[in-house]
Amino acid sequence: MTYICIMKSKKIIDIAEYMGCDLKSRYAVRDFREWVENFHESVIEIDFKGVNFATRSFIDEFYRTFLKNADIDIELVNVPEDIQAMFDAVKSGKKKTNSKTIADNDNAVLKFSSVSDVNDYLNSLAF
Amino acid sequence: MKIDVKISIPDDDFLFGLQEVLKIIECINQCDENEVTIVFHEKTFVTPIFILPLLVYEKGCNKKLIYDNKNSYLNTICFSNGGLKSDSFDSPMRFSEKMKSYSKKTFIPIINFSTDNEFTTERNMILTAIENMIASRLNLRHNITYGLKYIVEECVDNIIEHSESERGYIFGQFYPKKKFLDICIADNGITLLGSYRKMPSNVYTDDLSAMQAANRGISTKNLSAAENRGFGIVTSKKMLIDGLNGYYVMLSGSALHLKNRKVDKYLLLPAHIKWQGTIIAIRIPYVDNNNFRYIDFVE
Repeated sequence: MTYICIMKSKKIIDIAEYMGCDLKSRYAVRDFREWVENFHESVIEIDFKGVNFATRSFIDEFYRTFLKNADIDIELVNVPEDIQAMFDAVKSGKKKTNSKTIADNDNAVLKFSSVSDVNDYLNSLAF
Repeated sequence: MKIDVKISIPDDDFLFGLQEVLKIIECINQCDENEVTIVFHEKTFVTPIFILPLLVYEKGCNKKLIYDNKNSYLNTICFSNGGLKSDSFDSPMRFSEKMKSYSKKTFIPIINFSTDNEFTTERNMILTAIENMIASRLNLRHNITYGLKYIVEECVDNIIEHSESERGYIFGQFYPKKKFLDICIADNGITLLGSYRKMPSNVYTDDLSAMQAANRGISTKNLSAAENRGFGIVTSKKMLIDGLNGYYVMLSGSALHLKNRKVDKYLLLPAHIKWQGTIIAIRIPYVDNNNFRYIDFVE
């Protein structure tokens, strides 16, 4: 019996090599996605081994526009603990009602008609 | 008309610089002339919450402001030129070399960066270089450095995503003996209100309500998956104030927001006091924060 094993080719990308060890900015994700798609690979492995830090905005953009919607299989490897926690937060995606009214809180809002009144108030603060 | 600036802003008083800017703006408004000269005298010492609000105000002012700068510090931070333009250097490496000349100072110069998406990679490298320089200069622990990076980067990303400003600004001063740093990040774009006005079903019609909405995490991006938007400001503030016992000030249009552990206020400024842009000023203490972990604040 002859077995033929067909393996999908896999492109391995070191994300820190492309973007640096700090992952930030939503636009950088869009750039990265375009670059990855140009490889025309069916499976991409993204290695996070050199990553030190990421903003939530980056991870949100990465997850939402890249991981969820890419037409390719993406595997993430060596994801640092903090970055994984960020992915988990984004995946859990707190549903917020986009309430269009702001609850009145008279104590929090102050209106001023003169600069001297503003400055008197600022002087009075524990700031 | 000439306005003489002979102030020395005490570093303990975070809001003092803002008060001085408000006085200057008041004078400018009261002046009938179309040209106003602001004279900075030699012994003047100012803070980030003075510098960037004045810079942004000037960009949106309908009068011509001329600076007569007799102050060497303001020259060093590149104030008269509107800051050090990061994209005027051949490469991020050249910019980093320039920044090395500030590595022993207690400030970074005003950095004037392009918001053009074409410069995304360069901008990110430059911001990383600045953050790392600050961390190294102040010998910040990793946990504080990541908090600083998070807060700064989320502010910058908001400028890129929402402000429609061609330029963004960042300026920082450090106080090693008192163990805190002040950073100000600003744009001269469409303001928070301008950003909300672009939403099809916008309900916010004034600077104050727009500012309150932004600080509640209501995103201007009306996308189907927008439940994960709007966390930048909220998380950054929690990290800064609850986590690091810091101070947060936001200015946009005629609205001002102040927050620390004791104060949480929104102020509507007099109508003639208006910034065409958004400015965020923060103070980050970096002592007694050994237990701080930025990831604990990410929802």
